Amino acid sequence: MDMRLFLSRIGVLLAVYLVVIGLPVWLVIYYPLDRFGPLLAMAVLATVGPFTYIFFQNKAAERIFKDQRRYQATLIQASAGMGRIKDIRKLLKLIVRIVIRVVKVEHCAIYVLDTPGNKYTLGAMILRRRPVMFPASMLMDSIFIRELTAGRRPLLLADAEKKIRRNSADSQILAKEFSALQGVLVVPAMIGNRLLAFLVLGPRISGQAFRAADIAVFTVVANQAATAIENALFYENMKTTQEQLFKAEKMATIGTMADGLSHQINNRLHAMGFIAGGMLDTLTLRKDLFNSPELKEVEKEFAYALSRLQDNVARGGEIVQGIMKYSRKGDEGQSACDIDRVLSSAWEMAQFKIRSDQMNIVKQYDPILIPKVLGNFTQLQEVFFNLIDNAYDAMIVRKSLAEDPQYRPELAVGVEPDGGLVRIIFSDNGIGISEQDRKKLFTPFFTTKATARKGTGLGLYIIRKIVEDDHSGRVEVESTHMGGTKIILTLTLAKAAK
Amino acid sequence: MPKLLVVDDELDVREFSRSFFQKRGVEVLMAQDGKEALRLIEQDVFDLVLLDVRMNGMSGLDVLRELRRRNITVKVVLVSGTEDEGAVQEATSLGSVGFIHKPLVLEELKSVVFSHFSQ
Repeated sequence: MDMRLFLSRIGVLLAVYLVVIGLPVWLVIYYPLDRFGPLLAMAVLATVGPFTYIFFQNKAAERIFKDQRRYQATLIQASAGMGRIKDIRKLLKLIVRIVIRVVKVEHCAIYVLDTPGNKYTLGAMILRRRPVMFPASMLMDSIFIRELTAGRRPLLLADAEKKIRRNSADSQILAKEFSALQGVLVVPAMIGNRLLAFLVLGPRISGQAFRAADIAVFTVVANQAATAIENALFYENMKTTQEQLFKAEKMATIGTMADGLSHQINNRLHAMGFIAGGMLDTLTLRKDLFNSPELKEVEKEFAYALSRLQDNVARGGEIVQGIMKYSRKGDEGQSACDIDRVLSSAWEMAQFKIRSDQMNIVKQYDPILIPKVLGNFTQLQEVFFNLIDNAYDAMIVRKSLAEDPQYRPELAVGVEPDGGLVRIIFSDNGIGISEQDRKKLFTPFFTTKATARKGTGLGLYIIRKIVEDDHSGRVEVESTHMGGTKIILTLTLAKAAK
Repeated sequence: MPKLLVVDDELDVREFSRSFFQKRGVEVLMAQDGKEALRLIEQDVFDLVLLDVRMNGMSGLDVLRELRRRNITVKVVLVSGTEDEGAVQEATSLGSVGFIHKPLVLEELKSVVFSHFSQ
């Protein structure tokens, strides 16, 4: 039994019976002739006494258990509230609020497991007194976390400091890590042997030390919090998976739609091209009819208009092809790709436009020694082809501007393995990209080629989509105007292929 | 006089191809779907068939398969709107001699068609 409860009971008992026995005795002493009064007082008091005792006893207990009752009420409320919240951010805020409400502390924060990062990150905090700089995260393999996980119970800064006196190197680090957290009490939230989160509490506002009862309450809150956090994390994970699935489905739908749409548009363009071509053909074959200067003028105008129409049809077709290349369904699997083989096949694809004597490709790598990358061969081939095509166009512009007979278009391709990644670097000695154009480089349908040559404005957009969205890689551009362009692709090393 | 069969479900494509090649001394027959194409190919001898891949009903590939089943050999150039590598491969294995992509201008078509006539 609680010591205070025991003492209060004795106190109440003494007080009540002092009155019950004392009052008749006092009456007998002061009014010795009155026999009836003390008897009546005795009878009344003996009847009322036990009820009075119980009444005051309850009052006292209520006072003593006020804190515990408050804890209980909060806990019941909390457990009901926590289970319902599926948003992890909101949940963490609620947990911190509950803790602050149960015991008045200067500040409170919660750190939650960040699975891929192997650390615990600050999830929510409340400050009551002074500004506190909580560290943003705590590493999973820190001594502090290891101690908390192994101990499975709340840690007090005071205990950690006691350990320092024993002066082992670990306990010094532990105390240092502890004080970095800005708390005097840390409560673990565990599921099995896994530390899912932990609460950091500042000193109590009253200045008193934490009582065993407070710590017990925190432990209960932390355990309930662990279950709720696990649920919320699970829900979040499921939501992400569902969103990914939805996105994949949407992409598939768009793919199918794009397929049908491009077929329809292509057919229209094809027919329009034939109509324009047919008319142009008639004009050419019946040139003899246009024998006056005025008619000749009309013929020229028509022929020009029709040839422009054909040109537009051809460009429209290229745009449809460009979109189709990206949205087309097909082999979506990734495997170990030989960079040299991707480059060779892309170069072959480029041959319909570029004659090999028009530009040099310099392989700055050993085709046998370079590692393979994880990727989709067809998509990577598309990326390489677009890069070759862009480099060629940039070099042709440079050639026409420089009027240097010594100028020779050259595209150097380098491969640099870097840990689990591989950088593939395409450097050309073309015209380069102006500061202003660089910002718009990856915008779909943006092209600088419109005036000089045909360009769909989809090349780099598709490159980025393929490399960054489908291959989780990166595309970087370094370029100076007139100084050439360097495109750096970062892809994942295919480990199994080595 | 070389004989050309144009198989396409687009009226404009058929008509304009016909007038274009007729002016160049080619006899042109037209079919608006696979069935009609098969019927014409069985009845007549063509120097070349221009066959659209995607049509209502039988596809161009279906027509090729049917021709192979009936043991009919004729030069076929497939006309496709998409760069479908699978279709190109299958068409080649089924005996087509060429594959061209829409949209294309008549001049290009002319050079393809006449190159096959001269072979």
